[in-house]
Amino acid sequence: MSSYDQPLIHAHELTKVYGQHVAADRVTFAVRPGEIFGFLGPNGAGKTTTIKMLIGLLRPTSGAALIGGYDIAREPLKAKALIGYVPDQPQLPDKLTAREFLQFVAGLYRLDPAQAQRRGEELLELFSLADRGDDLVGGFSHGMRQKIALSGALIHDPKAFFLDEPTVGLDPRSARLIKDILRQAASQGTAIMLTTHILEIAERMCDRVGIINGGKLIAVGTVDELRHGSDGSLEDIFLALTGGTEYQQQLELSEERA
Amino acid sequence: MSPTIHALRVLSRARWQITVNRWWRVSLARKVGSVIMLVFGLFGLAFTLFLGFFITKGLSSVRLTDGLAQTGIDQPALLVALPSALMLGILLLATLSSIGGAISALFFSNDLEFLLTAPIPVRSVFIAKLIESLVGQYLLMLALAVMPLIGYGLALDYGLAYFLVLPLIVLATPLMPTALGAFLAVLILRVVPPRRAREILGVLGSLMGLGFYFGSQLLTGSSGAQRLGGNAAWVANLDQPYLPNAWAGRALRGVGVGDWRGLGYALIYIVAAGLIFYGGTLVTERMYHSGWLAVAGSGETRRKRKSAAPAQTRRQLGGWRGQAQTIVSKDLRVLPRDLRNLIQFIWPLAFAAFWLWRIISDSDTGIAGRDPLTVLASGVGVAFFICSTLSARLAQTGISREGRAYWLLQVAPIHARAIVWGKAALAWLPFPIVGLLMMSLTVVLGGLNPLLGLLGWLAVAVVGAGMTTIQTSFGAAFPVLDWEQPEKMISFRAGCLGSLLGWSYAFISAALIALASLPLTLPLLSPSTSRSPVVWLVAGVGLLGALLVTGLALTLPVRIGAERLERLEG
Repeated sequence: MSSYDQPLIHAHELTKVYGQHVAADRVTFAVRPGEIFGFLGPNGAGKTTTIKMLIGLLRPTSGAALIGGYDIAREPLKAKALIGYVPDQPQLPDKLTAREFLQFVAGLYRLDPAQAQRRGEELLELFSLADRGDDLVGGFSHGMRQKIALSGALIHDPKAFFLDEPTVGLDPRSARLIKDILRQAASQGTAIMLTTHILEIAERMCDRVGIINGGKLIAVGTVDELRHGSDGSLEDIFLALTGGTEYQQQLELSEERA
Repeated sequence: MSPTIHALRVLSRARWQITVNRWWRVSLARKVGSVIMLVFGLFGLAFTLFLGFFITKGLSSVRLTDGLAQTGIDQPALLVALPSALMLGILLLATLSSIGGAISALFFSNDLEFLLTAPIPVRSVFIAKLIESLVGQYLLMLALAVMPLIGYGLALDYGLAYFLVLPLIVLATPLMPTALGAFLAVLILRVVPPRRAREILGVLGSLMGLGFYFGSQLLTGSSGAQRLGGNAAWVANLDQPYLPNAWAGRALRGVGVGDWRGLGYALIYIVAAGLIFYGGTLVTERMYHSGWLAVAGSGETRRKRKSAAPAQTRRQLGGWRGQAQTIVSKDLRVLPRDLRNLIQFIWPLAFAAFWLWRIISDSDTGIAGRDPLTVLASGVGVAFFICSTLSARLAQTGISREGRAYWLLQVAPIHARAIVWGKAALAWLPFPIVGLLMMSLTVVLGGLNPLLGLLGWLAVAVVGAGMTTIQTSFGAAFPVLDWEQPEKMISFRAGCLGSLLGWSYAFISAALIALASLPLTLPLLSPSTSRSPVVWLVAGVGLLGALLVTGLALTLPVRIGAERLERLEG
C-alpha cells in the first residue's frame, strides 16, 4: 500500500431515498490512494446504490460524492475522468468487436488513439482475449464480457476504481488474475472500492472493509479492528453485525418442527 | 387434475397477475398515458369499422355499377372476394408475425430457465407460451379483421347468422398461423442462431410488405383506371376454393346471404384450424425442448471480422467534438451489423427508388417538361420527404439504441450535449448525402438550373439539420433504455413531441426559406416581374426568420435533451 494522502473516494453523508424507502442513509467513508476498500452487506443493503451515487449513475437525495476532490454532482466531467467502473452484469454494445469496444471507450476518455491501441492490445493479451479481439462482444460468455468490461475500465488508468462483485461468474484463474490486477493498481496509487459477497476475498484482499445493512454503514475498519481482539473470522463478524446468526436459530426451530 | 392442466393453470394465473401489475403498479403518468393509448386504440377500431363499411357500401353502390364496369371491375366478383382477400392478408401477416413471436416467447423469455427446470411438464410451458402468443394474434385480428368484417356485414345488410359465425371464424383464425409459426421457429433455430433469425425475420417482414405495396403499384397498368381494374381483378383471384382463407371468406359470405353451404365452409375452416393447431403443437412440442437446449447453450456465431482501422491513421477531432465523433464512428460501425436497424431503411429507400422511377418515367407525375418552379418544388419536396423518413428513426432512437449499455456513456467524462450532438450528427447525414443525390437527379432529369438545384439542396440540408436536432433531442429527453424489441425503442412522448415540433419547425422554416428565395423564384413564376425593394425586404425578413428559427432549433432542444439526460439515473 502506498502512502495515504487525501482520499480519492469520499462519500459524505450520502443518502438516497426512494419514496418511503431509504436505500442509503448518511453513508460516510473515504478511500485513500493505494487502498483497497471492501464494501460488504446482505442483499438489498445499499451497496450498489452507494457505488452508483459515487460514480454519478444515481443522484444522492442528500450528501456528496467526491472523487479526487471533485464533487461528482458539481464537476462531473473532472470526477468521471478519474473513475473506472465495472458493474456486476456488464451490458456492452453487442455489435462491436472487443477491439472496437476498447477503441470506443478510449475515444470517450479522449485518449491518444495510438497509445490507446497499444494499451488495448496489452489488456487483451493480459485477459487472454487477443485471439477473440475481432469477435463481436454479443457472442461472449459472462466471464468474457466481465473481462472486456474490466479492460474498458482499465484502459485509461483510473485513479478511483469501482467494482461491483468483480469475481462473479469468473473461473478461478480469471478471478486470481483480477485480484493480481487490483493489487498492482493499488500499488500504483489507485483507490479501489469493491463490493463482494465472498468474504474470503474481502478478508484477504482488502485493506479496510465497510459493512452496510439496511442502508446504514454499521462498521468500517480493518478486519483486525472489526474483530475487537476476538479470533472470529470476517464471516462471524459479518453475521454478528447484520443479524445473520438468527437464521441459524430459525433453521434449527423449523427442523425441530419438521 | 393432470400435471399439465395444473401447470397451465398456475402459469396462466401468474401471467394474469403480471399483466394486472403492469397496468396498475405504475406511476399515474403512465396510467394516464395508457388510457390515452386506449382511447386512440378505440378510435382506430372505429376507423377500421367505418373503413370496411364505406368501402363495401361504395363498391356495392348501384350508381357505380356502370362506372366500375368501364374500368374493368367485376363488381359482384369483387364484393364476394373481399372477405377472402382480407383473410388471406390476415393469415399471411399472422404467420409471419407468429414466427417472430414464437422465437421471442419460446426461446427468449426471461423466465424460461426457471420454468424449464421446474417440476412441470415441458408441454405446459410450451402451451402456455403459445397461448401468450395467441393473445397478440387476437388483438391483431380485432383491429384488422373483426372490425372491417363487421363493417362489411353492416354495409351489405347481412343478418344475425353472419354476426354469429364471424366470432367463430375469428377465434379459429390465429390457431393455424400460431402453430405454423411455432413449428417454423423451431425449425429455423436449428440452423440459424436465434438472434440472427429474429433479425432476418424482421427484414423478411419488411420485404413482404414492400412486395405487396410495390407489386400492386408496378405490375398493373400505369393509368389510374387501368390500375384500379387490375387491382380489383387481382383481389377477386384470391378467392380460390383450395385456400383456407377462401373457406373463411365463403363461410361468411354464404351465411350472410342465407346460403347454408356457408355453414359447411365454416365447419371445414374451424375443424382444419383446430387440427392444424393440434398436430402442429404436438410435433413442435416434441422438438422444442431439445431445440431450446441447443439455443440456450450457444451464443452468437463466432465470426472473424476485419480489424478496426489502426487508430493512429484516423484523424480525431479535439475536445467534445472528438467524443461526439467517437459516438458517430461507433454507431456507423454498429448500424449495418444489426439487421434490425437496416429494416428501418428499407421502406424509405424503396420509396426513394419508386419515386425516382415515377419522376423519370411516369407521364402523370414526371417532372420532365414541367416549369422550373414545379420541378424545384417537386425535387425539394421528394428529397426532403425521403431524407426525413431515413433520418427520423435514427434521430428518435439515437439514445435509446444504446439500450442497457448506456451506462458506458453515463460514467464516461462526456458532456450530455456532446452525446446529443453526436447522435444528431449521425441522423442528419441522410439530408446532405441522399439530398444531394436527389437534387442532382432533379437538375439532370428536370432540366433545372444548377444554381437553383444547389439552393434546393442547401434548403434540404439546413431544414433537415433543425428537424433532426429537434427529434434527436426529444428522443434523448425521453429515452427507452430497457427495450427488448427494437420497435419499442421510441417512447410515446419522444415520438409525439419530436414529430410534432420537428414538422412544425420544418413547415415554418420552409415557408421562411421560400420567402427568402423570392428574388430568385419570382422571375420563374412571371418573367416580367421586377425585383422591387419590397421583394428584397420580404426576402430579407424571410432569411432572418429562417436563420432565427433554425438557430433556435439547433440549440434549445439540445439543451432540453441534455438536461434530461443528465438527470437520468441508472
